[in-house]
Amino acid sequence: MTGNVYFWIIYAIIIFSAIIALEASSLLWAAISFVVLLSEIAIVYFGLNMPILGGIQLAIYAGGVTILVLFAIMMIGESYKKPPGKAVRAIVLSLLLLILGVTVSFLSAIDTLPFKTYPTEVLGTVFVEKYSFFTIILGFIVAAILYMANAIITKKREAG
Amino acid sequence: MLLEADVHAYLFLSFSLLAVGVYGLLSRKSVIRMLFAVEMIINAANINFVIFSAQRNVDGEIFTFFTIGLAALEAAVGLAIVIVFYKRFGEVIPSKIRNLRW
Repeated sequence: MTGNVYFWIIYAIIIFSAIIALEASSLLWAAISFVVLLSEIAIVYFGLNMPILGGIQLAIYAGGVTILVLFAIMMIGESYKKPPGKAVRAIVLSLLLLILGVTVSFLSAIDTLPFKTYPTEVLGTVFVEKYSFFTIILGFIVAAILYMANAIITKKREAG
Repeated sequence: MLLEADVHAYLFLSFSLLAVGVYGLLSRKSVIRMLFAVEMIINAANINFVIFSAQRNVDGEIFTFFTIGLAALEAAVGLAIVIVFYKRFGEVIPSKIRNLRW
């Protein structure tokens, strides 16, 4: 498990900001920490020579989803209470999950092939040849979920 | 490459993020923080896709595009439900969201 100093700095920032996003007493600071987390993951993508994916991560996650979250925080305000008791069990379970995952990844036959760089043309070609059909299904999924959410809200409004 | 690290180091990053997400999902009572935790778990899965994609072919990268789109959609619908619940009941407690059934 080797990496240069930049990787471990980014690792530390990602994990620290993830913990702050869950533990900060102010939801606004939690949202800011969440933005830092998503931006650092975008930097990981840029570092792996995937600039398009990094840009999409920044635009959709660090841009769109964060604005939605900030809007929700603005609407419902702060209603955060520290839950009693359950944190210890959750910490133990998540540490067990971490140890299990790392052990399995070391014991498995994951090789260390060198990382390659794919040009954008290859990305576009594979997308059009193999996965463009899924965009149609994805559109139907989006429409179905929005229709379902609309149906729930309308039904509750009629019932109430 | 700027980030020189082997695949095990990236998997360690992914599993660490997954562990923090699972911890948040199990221990928080705030819906927005639970949403943060779900997004962390999704991002951990995305890092896995991306790492194996960087070694082999571009398919994992394309899958990550779809996953990011679906995660944004999930966040939008989840927050819409939270806001509707807040407007109806004046507070958002995850264990009471079953009241949305009709």
